[in-house]
Amino acid sequence: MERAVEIYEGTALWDGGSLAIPVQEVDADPVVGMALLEGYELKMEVRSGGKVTIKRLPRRRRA
Amino acid sequence: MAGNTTSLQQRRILAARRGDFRAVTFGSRSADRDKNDFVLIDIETGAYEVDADEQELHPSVSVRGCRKRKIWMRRGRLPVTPTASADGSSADDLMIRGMVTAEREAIIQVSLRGPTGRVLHVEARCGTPAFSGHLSLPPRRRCPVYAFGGIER
Repeated sequence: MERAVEIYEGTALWDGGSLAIPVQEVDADPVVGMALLEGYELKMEVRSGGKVTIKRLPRRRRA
Repeated sequence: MAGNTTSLQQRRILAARRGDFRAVTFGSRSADRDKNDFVLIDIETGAYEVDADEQELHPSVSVRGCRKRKIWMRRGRLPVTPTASADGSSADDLMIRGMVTAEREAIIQVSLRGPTGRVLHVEARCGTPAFSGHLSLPPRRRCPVYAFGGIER
């Protein structure tokens, strides 16, 4: 079943700069998607109150 | 330590979302420059904004300390900027800190800038492979970001 989704243009302050991103309107709590996390390392301590850290990944070197 | 303060602040916001207002006390650790700042918290979404003039925060707020539309206001301080931590990471390579909830969800703060330059902070889950887009927000009726002009259609 297809469902229409409202998409807005937003400016996120991300990694020290401004980033124009598409923002989907979804009837749920806010979610950061994998597209915004592309090129970053996400770490989480899987326990209540655990730390979450996001770091930029170094660029891959060519072989 | 800055990391602990950030985590404490996020816990307070989660407490505000639960309706436990007494757990939210931003004012005690304010620096001098933040003494006139106010924090406006939407207890449904956990979104909050800091501004020196509470009248600028939200048009529905006309009396200091009042609660309307389930939005709660408190004298507060600016969000903490990450600094060097015990695990060797520094502000240069550490972009965002967050916390894991009791439901084992990773929550981080995302900042959105509106067309007027105002910055809003939204708590968002992250690391959900099922969502391949950039960012999702709840509908207008639930999210104050739209009202503040944070995003445009």
